[in-house]
Amino acid sequence: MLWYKNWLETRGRLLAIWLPVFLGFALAIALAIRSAAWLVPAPGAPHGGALVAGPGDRAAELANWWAFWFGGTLPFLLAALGLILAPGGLVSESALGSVSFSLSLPASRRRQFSVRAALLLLELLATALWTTLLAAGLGELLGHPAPWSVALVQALLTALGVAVLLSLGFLLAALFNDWAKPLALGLGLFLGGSLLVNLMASFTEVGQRLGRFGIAALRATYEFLFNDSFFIAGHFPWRHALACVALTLILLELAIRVTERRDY
Amino acid sequence: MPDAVIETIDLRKRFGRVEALRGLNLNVPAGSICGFLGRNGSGKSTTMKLLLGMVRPDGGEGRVLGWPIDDPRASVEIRRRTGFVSEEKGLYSYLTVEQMIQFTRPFFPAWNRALEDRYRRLFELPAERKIKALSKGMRAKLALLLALARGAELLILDEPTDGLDPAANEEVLQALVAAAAEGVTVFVASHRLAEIEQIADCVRILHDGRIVLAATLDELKENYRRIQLVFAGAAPAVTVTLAGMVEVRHEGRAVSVLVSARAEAIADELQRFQPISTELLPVGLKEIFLENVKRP
Repeated sequence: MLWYKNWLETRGRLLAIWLPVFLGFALAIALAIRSAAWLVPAPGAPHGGALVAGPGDRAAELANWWAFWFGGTLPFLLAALGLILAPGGLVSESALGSVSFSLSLPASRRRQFSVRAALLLLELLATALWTTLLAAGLGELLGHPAPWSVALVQALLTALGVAVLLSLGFLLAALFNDWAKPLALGLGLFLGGSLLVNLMASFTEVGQRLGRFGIAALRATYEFLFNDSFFIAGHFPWRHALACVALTLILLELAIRVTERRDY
Repeated sequence: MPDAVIETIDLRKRFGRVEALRGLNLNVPAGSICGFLGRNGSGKSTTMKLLLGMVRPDGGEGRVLGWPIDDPRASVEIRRRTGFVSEEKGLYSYLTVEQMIQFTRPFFPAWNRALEDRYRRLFELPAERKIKALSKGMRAKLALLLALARGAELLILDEPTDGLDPAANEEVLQALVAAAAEGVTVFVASHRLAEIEQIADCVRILHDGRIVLAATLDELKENYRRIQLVFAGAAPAVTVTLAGMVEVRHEGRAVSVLVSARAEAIADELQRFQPISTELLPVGLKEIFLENVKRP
């Protein structure tokens, strides 16, 4: 029944994301059927590309379409989904006054936390898979044969990367017993750090080095988490996948232990 | 089942600099309705949370239904056999009444469908209404149904009648009496002393982090008396201290002495002051409570 309860808690938010995404795809597919050229990203454009008419080099078009999908769109979609679905569980119930009821049930905190985390990860994975299926379908309609199984495996790998971020979110929320504070702190650190580094970069050599290091670190983290090399190169990134799984499990275990020790 | 369903020895809990419990020695007999009384912020809710594993003790020990309260696995067993209603009556606002019951039922193998149906009808709970749309009283009734229908051996209730209208109040009190008649132990924290006096078998008064009074209601009624002495002229200063005397009040021509034991013996001793009349009056729970929770 914990699965049932957590599903009821998240389904509204999940469908609020799924519906517009589905409609977006439906519209894109309808437009693609109507005009194959309309939605093809400009050839040679890096990740994302611009929505301009006119087909270009077909291999480049295909690469750019999937670069658009895996290089930015899918990670962003899944991260946004995680951000929206994550608030809840014992942390939110603590603020809403229902945590005493949850903790009076004969279900350990570990079990309650684990079921919620597992459901969210499944929702994340399901989103990655069905949206990628539609993306592959759209690619097919555009005349670009889509490697379905490869796309799905890449979607799984992208979801794994977001799972690490989601688990980090769980840990921070458990530490703060709040969802808003970690988010605010993270944003504050990011903005404050960016401002400081940019200021320093304007005046000092050290600042410039820090800035380059910071950007490189961010890029490296992004590329580690949202590694689309499998789709491009065809080699399954075992180390990346195992690292993501291990990180996710470690972060979740830490979050569970913090939750178990907390007084409510 | 042990004689004491709830037993704590020197239980301690601190929140930062505040010592909520300073050596709590609590004993709740099996099959009783036990009123748990104390001022606001005295630690009643903290005690209940400690018993159910929501809060971890800093010292001492406790057992509920024979299981230790500081062991996470034992705590699950305690909660499987216990019905709890918190002071906030917080439930899942996004569920309907029906969903809330369906969600809770499978956790408790001893869930009593007959009791569930009975309290659904009695409390007139609208099955399809979302919990966030329920009034405070309706939410309290639903929380009580979820506790009462569990088939629990022990009910731990924190202000269960808060927010209820008088009719619902009476229904709940009767439900608790019925539960106790079935052998369920009821441990209820309440500020409504009249209700406690109505249904409880025993009381425990918590003050300054410790139990300051633990007795059955019969013992309290038998032992606590107010001795009213009336004098022909101005009342003399009654300065004698006798075992069992709790408080002496001088009121014009009368002296009022609250005693917790030996009422008749003390009344006899006080005849040396030659009152023109002496009366032994019963004392209500409110007065006993107020006397025991006076600030030092």
